Amino acid sequence: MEVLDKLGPFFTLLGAALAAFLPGLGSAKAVGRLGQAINGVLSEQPELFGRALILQALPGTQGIYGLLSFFLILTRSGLMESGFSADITWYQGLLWIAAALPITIVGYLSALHQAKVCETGVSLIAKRSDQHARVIVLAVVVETYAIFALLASVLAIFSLS
Amino acid sequence: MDKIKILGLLKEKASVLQFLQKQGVVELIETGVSGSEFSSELSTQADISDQRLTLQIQEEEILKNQTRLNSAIQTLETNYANVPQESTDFRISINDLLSVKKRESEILDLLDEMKSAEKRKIDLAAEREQIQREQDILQDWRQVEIDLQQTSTQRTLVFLGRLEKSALSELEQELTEFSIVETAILTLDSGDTFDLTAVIALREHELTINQLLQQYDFKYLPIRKKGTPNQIYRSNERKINKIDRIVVELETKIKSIAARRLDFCLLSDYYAVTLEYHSASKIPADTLYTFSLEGFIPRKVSGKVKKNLEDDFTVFVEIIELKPEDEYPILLQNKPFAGAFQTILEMFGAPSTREIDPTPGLAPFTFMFFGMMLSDVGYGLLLTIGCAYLIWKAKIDTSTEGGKLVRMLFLCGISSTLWGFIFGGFFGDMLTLMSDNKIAFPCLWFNPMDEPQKLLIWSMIFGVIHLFSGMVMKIINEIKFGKISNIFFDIVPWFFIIIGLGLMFGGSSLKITAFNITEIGKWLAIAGAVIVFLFAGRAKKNIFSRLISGIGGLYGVINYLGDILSYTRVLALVLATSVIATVVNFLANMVSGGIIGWIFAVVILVGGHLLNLALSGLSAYVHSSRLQYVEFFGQFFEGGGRFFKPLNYKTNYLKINKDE
Repeated sequence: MEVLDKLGPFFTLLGAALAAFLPGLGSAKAVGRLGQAINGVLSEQPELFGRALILQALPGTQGIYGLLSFFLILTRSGLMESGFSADITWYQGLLWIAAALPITIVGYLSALHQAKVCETGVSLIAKRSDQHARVIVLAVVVETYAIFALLASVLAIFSLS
Repeated sequence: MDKIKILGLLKEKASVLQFLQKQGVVELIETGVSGSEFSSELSTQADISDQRLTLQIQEEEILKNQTRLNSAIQTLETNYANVPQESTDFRISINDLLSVKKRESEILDLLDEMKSAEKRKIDLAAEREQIQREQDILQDWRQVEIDLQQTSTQRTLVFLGRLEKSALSELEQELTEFSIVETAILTLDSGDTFDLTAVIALREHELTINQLLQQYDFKYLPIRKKGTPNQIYRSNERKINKIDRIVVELETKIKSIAARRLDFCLLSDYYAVTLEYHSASKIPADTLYTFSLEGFIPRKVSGKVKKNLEDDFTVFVEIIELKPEDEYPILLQNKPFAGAFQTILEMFGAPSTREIDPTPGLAPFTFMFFGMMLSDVGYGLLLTIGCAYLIWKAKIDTSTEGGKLVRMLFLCGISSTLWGFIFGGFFGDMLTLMSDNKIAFPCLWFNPMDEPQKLLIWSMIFGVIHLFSGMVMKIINEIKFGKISNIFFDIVPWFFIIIGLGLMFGGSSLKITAFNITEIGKWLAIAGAVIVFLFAGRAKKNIFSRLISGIGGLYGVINYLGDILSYTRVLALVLATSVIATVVNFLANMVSGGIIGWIFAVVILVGGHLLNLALSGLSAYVHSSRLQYVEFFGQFFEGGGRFFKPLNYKTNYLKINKDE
């Protein structure tokens, strides 16, 4: 059990790292794929750049939510001030991982799904650029669930500390 | 909205249409009386189709010229944007815009001139590149004194080219092996790693020699011109100089045209206006001597337009008042504050003719939710100042889509500043961190970072207020539709249920001891539920299907619960804005110290906060819109109308000055 007790800070950092890396990965994939789709459209209609850029930015927010959770876990668990030697039991460490799970999983998947909506949206605004606002709204409906997951994680983080 | 019918003399049709276009208040429609039917007795078919054809040819010509103008404008704007323009006044009166017709051919000549200059420039650039490539090769050969065209005699061939030094001896050896001894390899000049060689061989050996040379990577000299390499090089140099001189001349010419690019914009907009006019005049319903037009006109101006038309022209004008049941386009009219948020509705779609304009209900809540989501004094002020600069200093056109958005964001910025004071945020925790916890930015209510649960509850309470105002809109609509009973059976009980459930679960925190608040809540909810259960299926005759509808009606509580929970996003976005701002400050604080450290810190602070403002601003905008579209509109909005699009002067580049 002695080894286990020392694992507390590790588990906590693991939870924080998960929250930062999976949604970040999802966002990077999503943003990258959208960038490719947008480049194709821009070759014909370079004037759409501004509108297309906003669409590309939309699935990038999940990565930000992940980073946000990362910082909240690090500061709220006391890892940051203590320089990773905080007094956290292994059981508490597991709780921190559990708190990070909603944004980790939903953040990753919702970024990919949102990218699909945006991708078809890009081809839509290539034909009808006035439909830009509606494409954004449709994409935001997907993002709602990333926000709820963030909320779940954040509330868990606040109640743990 | 009224309907306007105009009957007049055909010879005045053009001026009547121009008058209407100038007023910009009438949307013309197809009359439903088709041209041929209406005019068969008086006007011959041939006449009409002849007119149509001329009109179509004119229109195609205009479209072609407009496309060319637009592409020229784009070229000039991208490549010669820094050339000062003769005039930068983009505002113009209608008469000035129309008088550009006189200069049409002059401007089109200018356009042709620019196009041909551009084309010449591109051709010359290609030619120059080709010569330059020749020069690169000739550079090494300049010392060689042979005529490049003199490469063969009656029996021999001369191969000129570059050969790697290491390959020379091997090549000679190979030649002896193949017993082609009547071959001479002359070294004309030597470089660092290669020789410039002439291989002289008998004509009958051409094939073998070629093969061998390729094998040893012999780089043939591709130039076969008269004169020694040095002579050719010199003459090429002269050619390049000449091309460069011409290109400079062309550049100055294009620049002088670029200085007058406003003329291109002017003509392009004139064409846009003319095309609009053409599409209106194509609506048929002409006889040989008369025309008739029909359209929609806002009631406010219909009387005035009728009087003006009848005073100035020989026309008969009839105004018909329309009722909500008739189909007509929608023109929204709102006070300045609510009008600024009209753009949110315009993106969604027009309301139907019968229902209430949702803008006054939507405006204060968008103002509030956007402000909450971006609650930060620093960000709010940046947004407000930026938008104010665009509106009053850069004077952008606030009637365009982008202009309306800027006008709305100006107000949203003010709201963000106010909420920033309420939640105590100035670029996140910048003041606290930079002053080592000595100064704390004042916070008028509470800090969401310390009490997130409190904000969670409050965002749901604000959500309930938003939903309730949506239900009030529904009540107004039902009154307009004359279905008063719906109000009492479908809307009012939900007020009871939601307030009742709220008191049941949250009432105890109000700390009212005079009476039992949870008990009151319970009975309120039950009363509401009973009304819904009994009356949701009131249209059904069968008692069982009516009861089943009642249960279905009660299921609506799940929808309301989902809607209310949706407002918790406000908390998440408030935290997102402030936590990211905190992270930026944290990073800047980490690198600060020393001159270089402070430079890095400032770069991080400026870049980070601008990025956060852009991303959080975008989130705040799209999510406050979403709360309107899904949660608020879901309560009452029917939609299905279309917006009023009057015949007017729609320009792409210039701004019409209506006052002149």
